[in-house]
Amino acid sequence: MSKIAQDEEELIARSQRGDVAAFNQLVLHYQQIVYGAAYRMVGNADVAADVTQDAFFAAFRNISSYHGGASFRAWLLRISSNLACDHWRRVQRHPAESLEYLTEEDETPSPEVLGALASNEPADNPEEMLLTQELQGIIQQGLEKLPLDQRVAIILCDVQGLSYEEVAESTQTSIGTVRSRISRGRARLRIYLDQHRELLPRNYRLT
Amino acid sequence: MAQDKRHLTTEQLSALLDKEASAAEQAQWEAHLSTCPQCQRALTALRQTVAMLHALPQPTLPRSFVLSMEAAEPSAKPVVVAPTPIRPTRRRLNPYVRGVLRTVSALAAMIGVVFFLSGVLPALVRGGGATTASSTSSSGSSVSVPINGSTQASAGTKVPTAVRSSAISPLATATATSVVQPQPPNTTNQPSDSARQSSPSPEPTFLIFNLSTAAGRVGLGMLLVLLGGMGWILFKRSRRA
Repeated sequence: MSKIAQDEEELIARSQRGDVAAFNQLVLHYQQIVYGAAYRMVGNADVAADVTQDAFFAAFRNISSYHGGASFRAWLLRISSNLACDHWRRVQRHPAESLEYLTEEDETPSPEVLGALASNEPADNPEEMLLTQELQGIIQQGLEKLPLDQRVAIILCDVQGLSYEEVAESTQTSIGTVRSRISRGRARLRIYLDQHRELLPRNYRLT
Repeated sequence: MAQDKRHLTTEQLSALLDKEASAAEQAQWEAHLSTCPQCQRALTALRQTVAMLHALPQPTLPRSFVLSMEAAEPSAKPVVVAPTPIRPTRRRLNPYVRGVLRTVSALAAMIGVVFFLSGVLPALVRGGGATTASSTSSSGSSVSVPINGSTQASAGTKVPTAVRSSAISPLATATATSVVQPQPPNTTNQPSDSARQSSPSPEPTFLIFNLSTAAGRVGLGMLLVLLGGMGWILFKRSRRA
């Protein structure tokens, strides 16, 4: 673990001297989490890809402003989630744009199809709970209904597995604020999922 | 303890779940939990919610996001400095189409203004405004002044029964017709020619020139201005979006 941390420090130092190849190794290491978080925040693959690419550009340009201490991934995720939030606010201001996205790229599943598909859960991976495409869609919709600050906190903490401390670094707030955002976000999400309880895996139904 | 009887808030349950509570808090909250089925259920529900979030798969990467050497060059910085406008590529067609539509709308509105003025101005400048009206309509329909002069003269002679001031509006129609038919105008039958074009009825000079034509032009002008203006505003707005 410390070996990886050392490598990372080394790569960051080289990147700060303008070494693109070193920075690209960091990109390869973090692109999945940055893209994944962006995707969950905006709910659109194309936009998430744009956000991710822009975030890595911005990170490389501003890497001199990264001073160790804070986790590098929290720092990267701060840049990308800011860009994702900017995009989300822009889309909210012009709902026609978001409507275009929705109709062309995000097919909302019909309830009938959902009911049929939720029952046959694939059982080839007993370790992890597998969510059907449709349930994933429901959770994604629930995330998109959260206020931005709660959404970002939930995605970073519960989806991407950051600690409260890292979430606080990423969102530039206190741990107390993170704690409150996460709890409010989870409560809201639970209410939302409760409205679709028939789709939840049997042993995960909320009672 | 009195505090143990109070139900735990979602925030407390949430922190407990994440083991982000202090040791003292945790001990106190767990003491309550052990005796409170309601809070236990709430904690279970919360845990399930978190489990589902955690089970969300990572989306497949659409491509690699490594920076190309030239893109990361300092010279390329100004280009990528403003990463804010994030738009999918397929929307790029729209601004162009919108621009064209907007221009067409503006043109329609301007033509409408011309129609409107050519209908309204003569009525306003009634009386001594014969020359003004002819110059207005000539500029509006881009017909040279000599033709106007001749038609004006012939209109005066050919329609003696019409009210004197009504000779103004025939002018505009006459010139408008001569635009449609660019053949050299015959000075003597030009007004009757235009009358035949506007309406086949034999006694229409007064009615048609004064009411229908002027009102028609005003109406058409207003319609064009309205539609053009609407288009102009509409496309301007959505273009900014």
